[in-house]
Amino acid sequence: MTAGGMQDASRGAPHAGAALGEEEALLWAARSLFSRGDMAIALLDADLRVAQILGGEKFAAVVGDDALEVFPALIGCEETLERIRSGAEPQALSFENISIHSDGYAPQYVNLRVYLDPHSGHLALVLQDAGETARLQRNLVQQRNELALARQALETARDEALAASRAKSSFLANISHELRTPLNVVIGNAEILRRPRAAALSSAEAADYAGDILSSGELLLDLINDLIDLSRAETGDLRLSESWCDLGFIAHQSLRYATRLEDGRDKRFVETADPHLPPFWGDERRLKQILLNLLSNAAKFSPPGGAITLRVEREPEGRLLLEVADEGPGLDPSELEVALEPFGQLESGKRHKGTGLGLPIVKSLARFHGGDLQIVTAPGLGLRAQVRLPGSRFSPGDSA
Amino acid sequence: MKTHKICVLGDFGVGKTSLIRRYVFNAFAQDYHATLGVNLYKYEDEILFEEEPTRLRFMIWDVEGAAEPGPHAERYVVGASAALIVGDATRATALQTVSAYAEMFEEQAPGRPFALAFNKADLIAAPDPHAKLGLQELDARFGVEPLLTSALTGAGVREAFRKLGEQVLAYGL
Repeated sequence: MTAGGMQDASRGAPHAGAALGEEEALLWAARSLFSRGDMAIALLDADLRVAQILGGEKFAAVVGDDALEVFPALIGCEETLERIRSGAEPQALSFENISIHSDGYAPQYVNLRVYLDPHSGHLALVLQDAGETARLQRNLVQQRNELALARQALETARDEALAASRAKSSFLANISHELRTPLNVVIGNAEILRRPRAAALSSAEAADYAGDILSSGELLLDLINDLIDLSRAETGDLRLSESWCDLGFIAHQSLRYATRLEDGRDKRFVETADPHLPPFWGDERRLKQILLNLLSNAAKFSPPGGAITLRVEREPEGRLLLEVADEGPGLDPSELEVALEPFGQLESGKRHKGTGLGLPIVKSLARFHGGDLQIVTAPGLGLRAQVRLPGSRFSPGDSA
Repeated sequence: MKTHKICVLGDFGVGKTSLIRRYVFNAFAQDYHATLGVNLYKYEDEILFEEEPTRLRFMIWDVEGAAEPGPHAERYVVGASAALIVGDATRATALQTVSAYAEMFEEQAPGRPFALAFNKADLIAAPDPHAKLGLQELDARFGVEPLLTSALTGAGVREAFRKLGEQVLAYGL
């Protein structure tokens, strides 16, 4: 017998046919149970040391040890143990499938239950090696959870596919409308100019009709170019035509073009481009496109007379910052997310001309240059669109 | 030195074990291994508290995950100094599950601090993940600022446990 344990199940086993008293039967059953070696009772003294182990060879070596060291699951439970000891806590403390992990240590599952032993007045700790049962249980839990996670992943994928499909349908409906409107102007005006009575039009009237055809054609071309750009960016087929660029020139040109936009005519444009920026390695046309998209976006949403500020500078850590700030209504974060999605179109944006592709295109072009687009905004506080491009694209020998 | 019991609670598959393993072993595994019952991890850390480096010893309880807190989780939090409640930032149900665990912990361990961690934040491509996930709602409800963590990259993990440690010290536990 080890440390007070009952090791021999055959000892005191009932003979066949012999009737047992209730107490004797209980004692025999307990001996059989504890003789398996995977179960034990630890009696704890008042200092929470292991005073005695009954049964369970695996646990015999811990007699005299601090119970909190041997059974770390009891750490933090000292108050509860004291309440159980004093009888203030009628419930036993019970933890199932406890295992102790450290790097490289295989888990050993143990069930643990602490109650007051009414005979000795000591805390009794029932320990059971959950062993094979726990391992089977764990396999079941693993399979159940994996199934549930796979189901969740499928549901998420389905929801995303549906949302993408809805966004594309909505985009197609919107783009059809955007294409039809200028096309109607082109067809309508061309018909007027082709009629026999067209000869009666004054040259100024005829020029107006032709001018509308031209501007509608330009709008259509812009739309189609945007769509091609976005499509190429999405498939990764967009190619940059890179060379050394004069950022001051690009900023100035973009700003000049923006002031001529329909939405830009009644806005105040402010340029704060650093005149001493070194040459920058990039695609000049795409860099202009980035600035123009941001400027036209700002013009679209700014109130009449509102200031639109363009900053082009090298940040202290070396990156190029292209920033357009407006005094428009700004966006809340949920709107911002939609505005940045390739097929997103804000309700507020629908009141204005355009496909709503401006920001996604800027983001793609920035990424193709190795940078990114960041938006700083809040409702009522305007919007600050910031494109940051790698400092490594500046001409060598011109570090900030 | 006193050992503090820290329970890590939440739904299954949210990355509780991964967060702990990132914190304790600075390791990450892609494979999913379900936790049965509870796994205990001993760990000592040094925390800057009131400008003084202070050593703390944790017994971290990695509790089996479940979609909602049940009797098992309630039993496991007995004697906990603090809890880290973890949600999966990519799941629509994260807010609800984290709230349920926070309520359970407040009820079972009144006056004990807890932190809220939204894991897998590396998978959230949003300019303002806090707003996207509606985390300000939890801040208002529990007075606890939710944290974004990624066991994969390690972002926010040490901070989450150390924040808990600071609170344990601040509460004088």
